[in-house]
Amino acid sequence: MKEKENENILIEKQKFYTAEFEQEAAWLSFMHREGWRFLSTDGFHYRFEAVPKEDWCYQLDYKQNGVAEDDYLQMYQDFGWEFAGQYGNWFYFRKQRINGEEPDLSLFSDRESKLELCKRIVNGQLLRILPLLLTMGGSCSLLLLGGLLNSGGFLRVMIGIACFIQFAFFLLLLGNYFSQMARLNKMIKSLDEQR
Amino acid sequence: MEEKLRRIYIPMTETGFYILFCLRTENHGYNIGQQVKQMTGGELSISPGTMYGTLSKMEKDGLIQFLKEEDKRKFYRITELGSEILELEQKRIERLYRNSRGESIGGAK
Repeated sequence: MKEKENENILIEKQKFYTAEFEQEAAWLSFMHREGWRFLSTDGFHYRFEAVPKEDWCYQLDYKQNGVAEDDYLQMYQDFGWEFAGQYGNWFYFRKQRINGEEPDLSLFSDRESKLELCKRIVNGQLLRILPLLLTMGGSCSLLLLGGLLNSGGFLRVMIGIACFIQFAFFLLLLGNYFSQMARLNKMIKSLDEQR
Repeated sequence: MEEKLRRIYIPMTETGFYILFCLRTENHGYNIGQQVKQMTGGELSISPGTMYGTLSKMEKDGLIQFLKEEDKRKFYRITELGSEILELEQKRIERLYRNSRGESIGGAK
């Protein structure tokens, strides 16, 4: 029984960054056409189950409070979108394309609401990263200060290394955050120029 | 009316106008979408993300009010403030329409 279950389950390693939500949706649609229906994700791995190959369109929404309220899911369901999963503030929906017909396959039907989506993501990501930035920045400087003042020799070297690693990680995180925000702002700008 | 709201909602997006217009009587998201499709002969179709976002925003800004939840669907209706904004918008569209037909409104020197 367990083995059979494993045969039907596929776990793919894949990383999509914040600004790549459209590529992520396209990839999930591709996987479904290949016979793998999206089950869940933890942001690094995607779980799929084997299904007949069908043409389903996937789309992502970003919800600021990250709560799957009944009326929210019901609204999407009313419009023919099946709730496929949630990861943090991201909500995954899918809708079947029947006989190649192209019904409304976007969650957002006008420029303004697409713009709102991008702004929601920018604001939401800032809120998410802010406490992390503050604690990392704070602990970095505390470590540095404490280490330099109170210790000598070996301990000082160790603290120095720990501090360096933490600082490098901090910079990496910050760099990634800014590059994702830059891409999102580019999307916002191009939407703004359509005005 | 607050200047800020006036700036946000006038002129209104086409979607926003139809949603507010359909809320002169109590209504919920999907039904509004269907009504708009019917009114416009299928020319305007509103997607769920757009519908949900617009309703949330209009509720937050006090243009519409939440009435009740039935079968997981939220029913809304336009408020006094919403009606005021809708009326301003209708007048603007009417002027636009008349001008687009080559008529002039007149009155100003």
